[in-house]
Amino acid sequence: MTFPRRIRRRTFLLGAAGLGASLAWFGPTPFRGTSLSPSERLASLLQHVDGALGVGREYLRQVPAEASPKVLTARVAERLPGGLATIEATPDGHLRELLLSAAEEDFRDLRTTQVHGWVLARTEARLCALAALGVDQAPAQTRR
Amino acid sequence: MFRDARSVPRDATLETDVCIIGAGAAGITLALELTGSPLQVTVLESGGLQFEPETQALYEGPSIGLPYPDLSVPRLRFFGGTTNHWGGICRPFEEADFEPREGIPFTGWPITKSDVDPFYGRAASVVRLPSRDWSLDYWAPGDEPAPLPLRSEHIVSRVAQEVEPELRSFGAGYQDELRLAPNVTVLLHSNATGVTTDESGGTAESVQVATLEGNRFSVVARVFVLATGAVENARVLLASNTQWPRGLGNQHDLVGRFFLEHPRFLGGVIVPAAPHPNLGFYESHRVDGRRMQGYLASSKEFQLAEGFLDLQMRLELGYGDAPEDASDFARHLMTLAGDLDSWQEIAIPGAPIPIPYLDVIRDALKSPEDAYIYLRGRIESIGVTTRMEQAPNPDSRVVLVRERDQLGMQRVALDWRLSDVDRRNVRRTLELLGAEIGAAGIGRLQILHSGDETSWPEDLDGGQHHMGTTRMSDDPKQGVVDSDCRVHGMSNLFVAGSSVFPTPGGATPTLLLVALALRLADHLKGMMLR
Repeated sequence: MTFPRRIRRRTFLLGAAGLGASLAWFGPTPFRGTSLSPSERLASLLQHVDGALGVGREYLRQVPAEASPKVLTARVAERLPGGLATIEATPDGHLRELLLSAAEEDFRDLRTTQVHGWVLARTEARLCALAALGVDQAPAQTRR
Repeated sequence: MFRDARSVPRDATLETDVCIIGAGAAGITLALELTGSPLQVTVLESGGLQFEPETQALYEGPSIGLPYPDLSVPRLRFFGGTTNHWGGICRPFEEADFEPREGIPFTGWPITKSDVDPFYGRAASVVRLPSRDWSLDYWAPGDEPAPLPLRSEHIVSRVAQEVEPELRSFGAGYQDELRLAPNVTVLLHSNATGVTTDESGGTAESVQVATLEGNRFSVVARVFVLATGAVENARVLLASNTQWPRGLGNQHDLVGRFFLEHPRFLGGVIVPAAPHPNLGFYESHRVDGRRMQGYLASSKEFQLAEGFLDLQMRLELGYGDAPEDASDFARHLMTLAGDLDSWQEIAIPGAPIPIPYLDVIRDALKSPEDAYIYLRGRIESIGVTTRMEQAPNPDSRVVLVRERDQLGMQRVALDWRLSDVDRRNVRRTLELLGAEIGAAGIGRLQILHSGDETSWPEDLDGGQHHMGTTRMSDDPKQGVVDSDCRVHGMSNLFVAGSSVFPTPGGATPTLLLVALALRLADHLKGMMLR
């Protein structure tokens, strides 16, 4: 079975945009401490922020009712055992595992959303949206 | 015995018991089954024993609907027919493939799987399949290659067997047997240009035959079987308009309508979470020396619940870029060596356990070529080619056009059309596949086509499976042939081949069309030898 060159190229171009987002929080990130707010904490777990931003912005365009850190954080917290307190009190590594479990549970229960064609767990799309809000709502001088 | 139509006296009338028009998979199967019987059998084959461009050109016909190759491309017009370039992929239809689907008009066969089951074993022998076992337990007995560990019952893995390439051509495989058959005459270079009936129009009396060299004669028979493929079967019936101006079997304007395919295109792309997912099951490979390939499909339960027909998904691996040549590889290695994260992504494809990275580095330095191959094996994307069971659509059809071929016979055009339910089927099934892929931790799926699109993807193609143009139904207002493959309103004209399929099913058509040809042979023997 061969993969046609024409398709492979298209695949790569399309895939490159979403790769960071779809697998955004697979991988190590440094421990950030507890000075971050819950929404900042969640967004900080994303490894490839650049890829996540595009996904997050599109998700917010599709679901404007969730365009607030508070709402998004609450929605993500609903999927975690212990809710909001878990986000505040759990070390990064364990929190990441909990989020991965939540995403897998989303997939199993068909709580998915499509962003630029990517079939994503609601939880991971919301994490991307939190990252997008964090950047877009930050004061201009602190934006990267 | 083999004869050549060019040596038949002009305007002669040949007599036989059974006249089979077409020597492809269906026609040859029928002839083989009638070998040794008291019946005299004449097989009319348009071509010779090899490909001949002038004969092949008789197929030419444009596409006036969805993009489709010229009609001279998909089928072959010489002894053995399209089996001469057949891919050899086989799988039997399942019970649900024969059943009507709620909400999808014109679905449901007048026969069930139990009517066909007695013939599948013989059909497997005729197509020379290596095994009659279709279970995952048989074809994936160990951990590798293994079906993807999907967790729900929406998406399943299936097995398709592959006939060995050298065994696929019925022309090569059965030529000697038919040559030695005392009651069978294969008449090469015989083009059927029409079937004439008695005055009542209910009994076929003869078939008119022409050669490219200008010879003309007729064959009179007790029974005629049209086995020329779904496009040509419709063409011959439509062109047989002496007694019936709209063509034989076409009282209800059904001949040529409901043209079906297995449309396919790249529906999505999976980005795998790991660089070397275990996907060998979905590539062509051997189990116990027998060739097979796996594919994903929507489960019958899902199809029935959602009101869809079948959808199959083939996985195509896209490998990552690597250095242009092995001589650059050492430099590339040094770069990678400084990046431990990258090294964690390097593993040996197919290795049962992770091989220590230091060993990889050591081996790579010893043999950059080998390590280069390891890196080439890194899978960056997995294309998901969707192949759907097209929903029956009366506007998808083969029609006669004004232009005539070299024999003076009207050519046909193909107006291939799909339906909204086909689009919804692909979209919904891919959504579920995306969820399954995510839940299993395999990666993420991107669906490449928006649900809002009204056009079909540019890479839309058919599987070169022509079906449906003389569909089977016990109701003459719903089908061209009855459940015995007899043309409604005709006492002795039958059709063999996938043109009788009212729905395309979730499997390739060849195995079933051969099984139906065997069933028809039994029916004819029962009818004619009473």
